[in-house]
Amino acid sequence: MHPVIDQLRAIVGSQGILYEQDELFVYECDGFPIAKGIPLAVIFPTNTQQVADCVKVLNQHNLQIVPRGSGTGLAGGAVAYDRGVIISLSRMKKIESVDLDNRVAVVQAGVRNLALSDSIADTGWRFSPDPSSQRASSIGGNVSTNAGGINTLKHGVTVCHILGLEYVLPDGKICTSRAEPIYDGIGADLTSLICGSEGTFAIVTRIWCRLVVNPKYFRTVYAVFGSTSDACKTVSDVIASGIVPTSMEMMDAGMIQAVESAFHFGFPSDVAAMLLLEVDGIDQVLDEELASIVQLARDNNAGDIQQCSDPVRRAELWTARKKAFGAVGRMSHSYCTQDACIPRSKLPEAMEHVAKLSEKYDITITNVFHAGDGNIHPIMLFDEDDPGQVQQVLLLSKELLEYCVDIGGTITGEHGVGVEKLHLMDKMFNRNTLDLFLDVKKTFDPDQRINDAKLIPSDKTTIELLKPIAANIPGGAL
Amino acid sequence: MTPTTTPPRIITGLSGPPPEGDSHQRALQLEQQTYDRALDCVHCGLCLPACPTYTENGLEADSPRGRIYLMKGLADGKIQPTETVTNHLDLCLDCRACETACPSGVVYHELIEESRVKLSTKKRTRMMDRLVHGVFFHVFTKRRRLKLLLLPARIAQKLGLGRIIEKSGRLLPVQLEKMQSMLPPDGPLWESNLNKFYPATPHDGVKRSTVGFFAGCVGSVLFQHVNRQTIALLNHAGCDVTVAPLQTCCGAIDHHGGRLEPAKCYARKNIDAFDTDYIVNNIAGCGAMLKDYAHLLRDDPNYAQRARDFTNRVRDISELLPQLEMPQPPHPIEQTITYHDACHLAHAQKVTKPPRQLLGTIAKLQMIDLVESDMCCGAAGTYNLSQPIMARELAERKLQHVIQTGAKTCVTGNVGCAMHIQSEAKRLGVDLKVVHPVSLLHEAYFGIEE
Repeated sequence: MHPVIDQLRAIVGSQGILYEQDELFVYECDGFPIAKGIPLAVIFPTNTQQVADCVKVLNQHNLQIVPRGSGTGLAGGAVAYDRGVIISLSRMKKIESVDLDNRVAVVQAGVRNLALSDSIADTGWRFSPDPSSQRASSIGGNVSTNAGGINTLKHGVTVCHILGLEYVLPDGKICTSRAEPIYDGIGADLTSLICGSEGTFAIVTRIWCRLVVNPKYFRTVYAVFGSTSDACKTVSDVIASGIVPTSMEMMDAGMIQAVESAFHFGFPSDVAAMLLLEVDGIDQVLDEELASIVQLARDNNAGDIQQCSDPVRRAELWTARKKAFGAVGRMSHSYCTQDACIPRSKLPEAMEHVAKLSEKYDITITNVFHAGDGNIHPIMLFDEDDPGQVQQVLLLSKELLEYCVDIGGTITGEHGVGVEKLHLMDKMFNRNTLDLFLDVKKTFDPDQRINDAKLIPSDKTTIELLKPIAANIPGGAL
Repeated sequence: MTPTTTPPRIITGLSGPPPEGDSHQRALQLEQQTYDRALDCVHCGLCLPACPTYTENGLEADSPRGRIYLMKGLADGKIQPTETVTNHLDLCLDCRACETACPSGVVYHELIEESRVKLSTKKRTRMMDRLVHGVFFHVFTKRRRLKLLLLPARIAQKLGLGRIIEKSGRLLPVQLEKMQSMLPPDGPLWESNLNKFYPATPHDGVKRSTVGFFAGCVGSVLFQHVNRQTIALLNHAGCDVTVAPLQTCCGAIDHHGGRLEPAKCYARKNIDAFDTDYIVNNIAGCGAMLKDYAHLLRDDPNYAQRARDFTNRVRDISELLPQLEMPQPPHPIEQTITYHDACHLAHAQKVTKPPRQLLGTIAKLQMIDLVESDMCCGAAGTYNLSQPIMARELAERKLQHVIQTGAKTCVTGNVGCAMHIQSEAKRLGVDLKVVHPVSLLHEAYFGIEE
């Protein structure tokens, strides 16, 4: 047994640590099951001081530290390589205070996104970021990946809703930045710097969340199309018209089928694409906006257009959308999704390119995505136990993301880089910028002990997702 | 800028520890269909918040996704069924909340139940566990034996020796103590059997159908009054009710305990016993088992088809009543209640709205929504006896939510939940009455019973 175990146990108690091989097994991956690594131990602190104390002990032993929320991430960010120790925030789930007068809630990092909104449901307020995983994912995890979601088109991603953070630095010091519901405007915005750093700068332990009022008025519609291209053109036209919908989501035929077989919503089965769309705002204006959108859809050959005014149906519709990824399990044993963001005007051609790549690599792809943000989510279906297919998926992903960068897009909109897209960072940024990224990391983490070699290419370690299966296949070091 | 002195070290991700010794030694041989269904899990994690044990302890290995990973690991020969691994599998309530949450449609209960069956044959059991299991399998499933077991406790109750029982309970092993604490405070010394036939007494003179009533073992010994009330409601709605004399235990206790053959045997007997349009029951756990016969007997050439036919005719009382054109109940009930969804009704049978609709027909009855109403209370069949610590934690969680509603009556459609919540409320000094929806409906239709 590693000597660190006893020291950690002294801090978190015997119920707060796992170190037996067969229990660690379930921590070998997160929501991206291609990336795997068995940690040395998993610890479950219940407060910030315990986190800080554990970090100090881990430093003495020169061990890698990997923070983990609910493990729903899609880029392998919560996987411990190199026998690192996972700090699970799953027991730090206290909603410490809710102050509606000042529109702020203070939560521990392990609080589930929806648990916060549910706890204040009767007040008509909510925490706005709504990644599809929001029922399960932790707010700390949302901060780390700067999570997006369905209504971010209008209401913004996680960083727009974070007023302050408390975090533990890799040397065990506890810091707080902008930790009150006021806008202090002092110096560089450390809070925003931590948001999206994917647990490579510090371990977020407490969050001051901005609360917003639920929209009182909204219109929800879904429209079906005979081609994905027509649906994409509609998205592009709506954005160009100046209307900002709350959300504008697209599903292709494969996805509609999967969602329909999971939730029996009553979607038509013989269409190529569907747009789900919602506008919120001032009641009197909404009908006019809706009419313009419907007209744009008709101009792009939309078939049936249904308004969804019953609140129960509306909730079912969005639940179906949010559970769409999981419903993919009905079609395939494993899936992997990309989340490149591209200019919305390029959506039609990008979708065609996705279809071509699907053919080229012989990997089935289905699509459900935040069309309004230009945030595509091609979901690749494969068998994780088939190394050949895994390799094809990785190569396909690489070519697709390179294409997206080439047309003016980015490699990730909301899922993060993790280990999965690390090899594309040099496609995205020039050498000077990458060096700056690493220097910023080293400012927080000079010894590169926390989640090293994720998000930011490290000069110390490179993580190989897979060994090359044949010498002539490039990308073994993907 | 960052100077790069040495080239970065390359590390590789590995899929689990390599199997030790014989690389093909698989501790768990799952049926192909079950194994394939385990693969339907795409590891998205949306099941995590639905799982009561994960919600309590935050351990991935005590989440549905984690347990599936463990079972798949066992089936792939990547891990061995050590005590830690089987403990995580045993801590599962089999409440099936994860199935409701799962977008991939993973049929989790088939996986955990088959795994338990196959792992239990290898497990050494302690003396006391064997005694307790003996009580589960050989007494709870046989009405006469159950009545005999309860007789001393009932006599003591009648003689006003309740406190002595409570004290003596503390001398018993924790499971048996829990059993005696769940005994409802009043009841006859020797519960009488139901008649074989109860003719319809339709409120509007229209006879509607013939219903077979499934009485349940614990139900017909401790909750026979609820059974009688159920039959009275069915008669009032225009149904002839037969109580098939050859019916037996539904088999759930054996099935969940990993004893497949006895469970199948019960299933065949019940299929033989009922020939009615509907088979109606008022116990969620039994109902879920009856509806699972098609799966249980899928490989039995003589029973597979009959089991499917049987399953299609099974109804919870709350599913059938709304279809029977009942009039508005005449007696108002001035009470504030809250409704707890029994897992085996909400998650296994997907019945959540009908009981609420039925209760909604009662005048002046005020129903307050319960937070986490469909999260397991910890009863879970015999779980509260085999995993008393987790069961208590979950009951406390449930009771906290019930207290928040301000209701003094908690309504639920399962005897297991009723006994567990009631006994935990008593232990914690919470003023609460747990009743079956049928009892409230009976009062609303026929007034307060003598």
